[in-house]
Amino acid sequence: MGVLENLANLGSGFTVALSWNYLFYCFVGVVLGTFVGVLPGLGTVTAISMLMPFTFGLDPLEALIMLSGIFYGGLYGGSTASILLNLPGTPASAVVALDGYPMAKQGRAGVPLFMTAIASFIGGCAALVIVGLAAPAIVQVALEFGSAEYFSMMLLGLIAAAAASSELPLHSIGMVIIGLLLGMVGMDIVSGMMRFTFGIPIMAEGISFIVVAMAFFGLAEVIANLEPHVKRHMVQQVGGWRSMLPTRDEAKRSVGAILRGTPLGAFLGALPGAGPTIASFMAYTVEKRVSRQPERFGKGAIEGVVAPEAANNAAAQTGYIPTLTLGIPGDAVGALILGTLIMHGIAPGPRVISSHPELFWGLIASMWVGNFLLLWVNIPFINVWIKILSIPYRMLYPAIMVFLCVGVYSVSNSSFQLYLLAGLGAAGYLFAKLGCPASPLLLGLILGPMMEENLRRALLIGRGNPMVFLESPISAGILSLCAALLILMVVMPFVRASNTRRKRDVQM
Amino acid sequence: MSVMLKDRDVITGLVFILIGGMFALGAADYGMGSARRMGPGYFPVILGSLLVLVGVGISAKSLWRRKFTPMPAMYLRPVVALSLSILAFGVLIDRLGLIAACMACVLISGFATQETRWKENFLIAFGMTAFSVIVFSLLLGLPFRLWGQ
Repeated sequence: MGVLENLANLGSGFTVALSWNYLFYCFVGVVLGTFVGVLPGLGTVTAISMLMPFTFGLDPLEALIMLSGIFYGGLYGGSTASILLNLPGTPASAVVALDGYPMAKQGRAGVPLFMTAIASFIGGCAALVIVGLAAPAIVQVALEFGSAEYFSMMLLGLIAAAAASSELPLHSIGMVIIGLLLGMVGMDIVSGMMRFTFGIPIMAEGISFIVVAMAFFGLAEVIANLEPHVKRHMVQQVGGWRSMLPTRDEAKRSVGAILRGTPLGAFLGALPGAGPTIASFMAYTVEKRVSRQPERFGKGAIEGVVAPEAANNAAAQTGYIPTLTLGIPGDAVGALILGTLIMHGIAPGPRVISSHPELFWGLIASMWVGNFLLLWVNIPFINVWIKILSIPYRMLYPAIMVFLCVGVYSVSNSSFQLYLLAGLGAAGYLFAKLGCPASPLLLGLILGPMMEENLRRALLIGRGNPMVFLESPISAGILSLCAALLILMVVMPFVRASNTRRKRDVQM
Repeated sequence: MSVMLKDRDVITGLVFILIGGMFALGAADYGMGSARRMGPGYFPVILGSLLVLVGVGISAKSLWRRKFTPMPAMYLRPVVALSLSILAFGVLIDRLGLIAACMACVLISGFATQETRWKENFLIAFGMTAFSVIVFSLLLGLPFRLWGQ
């Protein structure tokens, strides 16, 4: 596919995205996302999983547009909470607090709030160009994939997710496997046998990823937030337009920071397992490295606010690439988006773009529109969002509970799902206490059935000989990447330990 | 010994071994088949066994290093109160309808923290019930019975 063809496709995407109903759902998504993102203790994954059941009635593109709006709106709202409260609404915006909060304490909260809006907008829009160009090209390669390549690719995605999501690699690998095992529950598609259903008829459909997402990212989070020692601070007000403008020097320094943060984020976002959180941390580190006065960081350096913000939004957009081209999500959000596709009867994989062009290009165009809407939703109404920030949690969580219950019940109109939610929520709380991250589990759950299917098919073609995975060069290449990653995961803790030991020696 | 059993990683390992073992043993009955024609038990048995291995690895590493991180405290109050509020919603939605289920869900969830002010909680309960009826039932058209069988 040529560049011109892509442009034409993007053009038709815009005509789709700008029709009233899609514009409406984009707006709703962005506003809801900002709202939930601003609320402390509610992440973007929580927001998407909580609101997902209410999109079942929409058409697939409306649902995708709205959920995506919730996602990047939530990222944006999260940084607002980060700057004003030093209490990140989402992990991806934790870094923004490092320099944003000190600025807010100096009475200049308006500046980082305004600049994050600008940085997100630029980062998001630039990354969308990359998505539009890269996705069709990747699809060309992916169309050649057979079962062996798919299996290897999914394995790589899972290992990368495990490597990225925790300091404790074995814990994350364990969570991936638990997710894969939960994915086995239900009727086996090949033999028709019921697996792990305990004779409960509704279990034949398997464990719904929505229930698991709500339990691990919704209920377990609420429980953790209700622990007696979690305390929240009060918020300042932000003045008018004038107080939002950066100084000339700050504006100049922001330009370079955004230009560095965007490509870094776009690159990291497209890798499986990386994503907005890692992108923002990396961007911050890079800024500190290249700065001539690294000592300013942590005390209110504007670069430390805009670079991570541009990076995390760029990563959020390019994160769609593996999900939409290969059908292999890179992180929990990708997993939820993939789940939405499946719920709406669209088989994920490299054929999505060619068989549903209006879906892909419409979504890309709508994210552009959404990034633009975000500016208008956020900057003029910043004081409204601050009011929302100061709602005490004791008034919020009962409302969240109602959303969780109604949402889970409407997955299949059965109370059984609610009992599952209660049980899995408690399990999720236990896992969080044990230092086991939840996103690898969710990824495993979504990929489990697909992985088993491709493993079976590949080995059937290879007559039971596992060499089939090494005979294809693509699959062999991916598998050696997997091996390299695993070795890195085992070796890294030792390297880190010896580094800190060396540092300690130097200090002494 | 007791220090070891309170160690976060040892507990994680045991939990993994338990889950993996249960799945692997359960799947062994489903028929393994061969690598060429996999039965329904093949993949789960492999995964379950892998999980057991990972669990053994985590526990063993922690025991071998003898560097114990104590398990952080779990607060049962929110777990119990929120589970009960979900169960109440589940029981009531099929028997008495959305209004009763919503009220019960909010009111019971109030027990999850000491900070709850009951007057406020009643107001939230009424507010959320009204919201659910209007938004979920009327606007979004989710198939709920509002009241009664």
